[in-house]
Amino acid sequence: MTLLRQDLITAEIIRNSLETVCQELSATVENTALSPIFTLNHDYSCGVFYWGGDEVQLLARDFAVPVHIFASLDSVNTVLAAFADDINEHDVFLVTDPYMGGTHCPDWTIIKPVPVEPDTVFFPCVRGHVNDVGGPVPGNYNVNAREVWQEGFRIPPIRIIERGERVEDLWETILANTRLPADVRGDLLAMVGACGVGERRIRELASKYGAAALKQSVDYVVSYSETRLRAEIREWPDGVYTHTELLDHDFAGNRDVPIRITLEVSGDEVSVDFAGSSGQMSGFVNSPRGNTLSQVFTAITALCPDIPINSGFFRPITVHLPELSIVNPEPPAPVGHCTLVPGTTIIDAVMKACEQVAPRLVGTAACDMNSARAFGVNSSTGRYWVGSDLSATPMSAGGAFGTDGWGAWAATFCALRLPPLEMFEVYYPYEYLLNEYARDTAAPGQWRGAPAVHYRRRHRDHMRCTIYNASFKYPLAGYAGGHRGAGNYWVIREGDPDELKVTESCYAEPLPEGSLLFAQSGAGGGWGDSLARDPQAVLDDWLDELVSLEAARRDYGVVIDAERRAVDAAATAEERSRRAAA
Amino acid sequence: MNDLVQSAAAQLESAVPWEAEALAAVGDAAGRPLFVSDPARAPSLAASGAYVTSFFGARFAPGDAALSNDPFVGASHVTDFTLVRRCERGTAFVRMRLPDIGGFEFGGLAPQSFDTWGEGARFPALLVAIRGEPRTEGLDLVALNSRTPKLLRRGVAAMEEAAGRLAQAIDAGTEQDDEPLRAAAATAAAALAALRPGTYAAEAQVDSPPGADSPLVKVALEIGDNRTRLSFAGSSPQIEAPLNSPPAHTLDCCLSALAATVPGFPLAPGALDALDIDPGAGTITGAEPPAITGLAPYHTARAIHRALGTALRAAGAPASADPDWWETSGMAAYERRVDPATLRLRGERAATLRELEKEGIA
Repeated sequence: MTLLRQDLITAEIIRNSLETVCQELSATVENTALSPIFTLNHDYSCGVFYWGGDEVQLLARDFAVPVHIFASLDSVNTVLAAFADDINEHDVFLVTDPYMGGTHCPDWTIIKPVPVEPDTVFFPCVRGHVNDVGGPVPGNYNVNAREVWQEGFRIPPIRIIERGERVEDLWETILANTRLPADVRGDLLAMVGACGVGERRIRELASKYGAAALKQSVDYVVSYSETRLRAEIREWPDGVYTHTELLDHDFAGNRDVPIRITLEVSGDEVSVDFAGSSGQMSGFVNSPRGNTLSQVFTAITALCPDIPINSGFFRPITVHLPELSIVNPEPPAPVGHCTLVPGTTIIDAVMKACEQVAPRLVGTAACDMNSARAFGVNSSTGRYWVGSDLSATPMSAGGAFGTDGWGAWAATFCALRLPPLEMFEVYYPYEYLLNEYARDTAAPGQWRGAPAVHYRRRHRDHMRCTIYNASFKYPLAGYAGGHRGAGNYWVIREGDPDELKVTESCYAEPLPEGSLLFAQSGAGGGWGDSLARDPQAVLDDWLDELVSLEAARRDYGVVIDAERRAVDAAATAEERSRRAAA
Repeated sequence: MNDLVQSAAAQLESAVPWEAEALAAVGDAAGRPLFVSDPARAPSLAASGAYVTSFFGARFAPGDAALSNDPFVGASHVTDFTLVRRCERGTAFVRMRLPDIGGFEFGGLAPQSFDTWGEGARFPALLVAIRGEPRTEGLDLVALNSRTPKLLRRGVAAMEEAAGRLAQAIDAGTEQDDEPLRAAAATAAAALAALRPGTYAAEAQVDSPPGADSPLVKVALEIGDNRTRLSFAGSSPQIEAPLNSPPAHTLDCCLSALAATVPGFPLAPGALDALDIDPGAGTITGAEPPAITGLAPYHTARAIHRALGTALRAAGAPASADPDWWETSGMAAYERRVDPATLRLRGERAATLRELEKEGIA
């Protein structure tokens, strides 16, 4: 698709405007939501979708978690399929069901159709992780789930605002099915309000540029991304590349669960086939279609970070999902952990397959996989609470060509934030004692992964805690010869006679007042041969207390003269030569 | 009208291939049931009606029908669905037990639950018909949260049909007024007046599942010159076990116990208007969200009957009054439904329902 120069400029202005709209949606949610999971963790994403008479397209997103916003494509489609001939001005829709374009039950998607012309409809959209949606387990991560009904309230496409008026009985129903109705009501209003802001901005754009120019521009923007990705893929060697990653377990007694990828590069297209992956599992690690597609797209977008991400990006990618498989289950398979497990394993598997295609582009895009939810009654406030503390899961980044793993989320949860621990101490009866990098835990590589985090908190009240841990046996992958990251594990009631180390899961374990909870949260893998790491970088890590003298020698072949606080160049050269010859 | 509701309940029960414990009622425009096929459940039905009509207010128009299964606004348990249909000259009610509404366990009996959400999804007041037209959005939402969506739709269709017939009959007659309620209250007051004035206390332990605490139902009965008062405020606090009786269910128990124990006390809607009853907010007999309620209609109901029966006999109700009313009526239903070893729905019953769902009964 080619445009005149002035139209190109208009298209670029509109592309940036739409991304700004997403930023404004995001800011609206952040400033008006109530729950820390929105306001502090930023576990929500905003985007603008578009229907121009053909297929629904993602046009823009910002501060977005990929698994949220990519899967929302299916959500918009679901709403359109359900209400195609029955959409009014100022309607707002909600859909949450994992099997209707969702991922897991707590991820709620709010969609507001904004018709500019009969066949030109924009959809400001917010998908957010609601802190509790009923079901058997507070916080909805039910390690004992064997069916989706054991994971929370399911919501098909419903119209929660009709012609600008709240549909009261639906709101009543929704709020009756959460343990935190006041917070969830506020979060829902924030999401709806944000979409209203989106509507205003889109109408302003339409008014300023006209519907025809808007339509032409978004068509161009989408085709531009497609063209760019096709050009990138053409640089990749044609061929068939396979890789199998394993999940530690499925939380139902099955272990070493395979995710198999066959990636074929052919001309300017890529196909990703999951044939050979496990069938759908008993435990809550099944990944519905939208979730699986999102993880694939996440991996490939991470390879090409300078291409604008919209539906055009997805067009050269074909994904084949075997039916009744872990990556394309059918109801009632439980799916509660899918965004992390197997989501991150899917990303790792795609990345490892891509490692054979474009090694300098790959690295950990997946997220660490240790998580927990706690719940109880805060004795200071008398309020029931469900804790969505993500502080033990933060440092997922691995090494990439040219850079070490950094202290932040990896691509898959790139929009999430670490809250100030002091704020969490206000919200929840926690007292944080430790949250720091642990020595000798970074995955070795020419560019190492981020170190693992060690985390410890004390409980100011009695509470119960469910832990759903993965990546203990198979930590996040390393690339191009880099090592895997450190594994994840937890210790509950640390130091007490009934201390328990958790490498898989525990369910509603009591944590008495004063008890301690410890976690090791491993990060992403290293990139490249660790013996090729710049010795000065190893010295810096030693000075930063990230690597010990022993590990510097063992993992990197670097000998450090501790007295001089310098690399012993001769001894290092000798050590590396010896290791290379071995 | 009594014949009409009996017939409607019987038809409703036979319309579905499971034990539905069907109930039908005719009420006034304010949503108060006046004629109930099983009067022992009139108080809880009245609570459902009151909630639905007050929630929608003037927007609740003839032809509108709403489902309600929330234990804290009238249902005894989440599988206990009431459909309230507004008509021109009154309100039609039908209630039945639906096979499943999600939660931890098939059938909603989930003793391992922390709270009510573990037993299933809650629908305080959700429209499934508007001006006589189906509102598919509402029913789809309910069905998605059931392991047996086909059976659920079948059950709701049967309820809508039954409520529709009742509504037609109501509208063919005159405006329903509350005369039956006033008459029942007057008869009940006269029956209570025969008891000895004074204050009486009694208690009964709830037969608890293994491993659970054994809470106490405590009742204080005060028979005064003008008014009788019942208070359960001294009962044990609600607990994390499925033994918590929501207030409306406690009122059902009170009505049946009074009718079984006090000569002349009518088993009828409105009879409880003759006395003041405090179920005891936050206790095992006045449970508040998010208490678990699944076994309250059995274990806790039995204790309420025992305690109240004891107090009433102390106040002069004849010793020969049926002390085993609950043993013969309530426990029979319990034994058909609950596996005493697991406190979950009986396995054979669950298997039959799953099979029916699989077959996709027409």
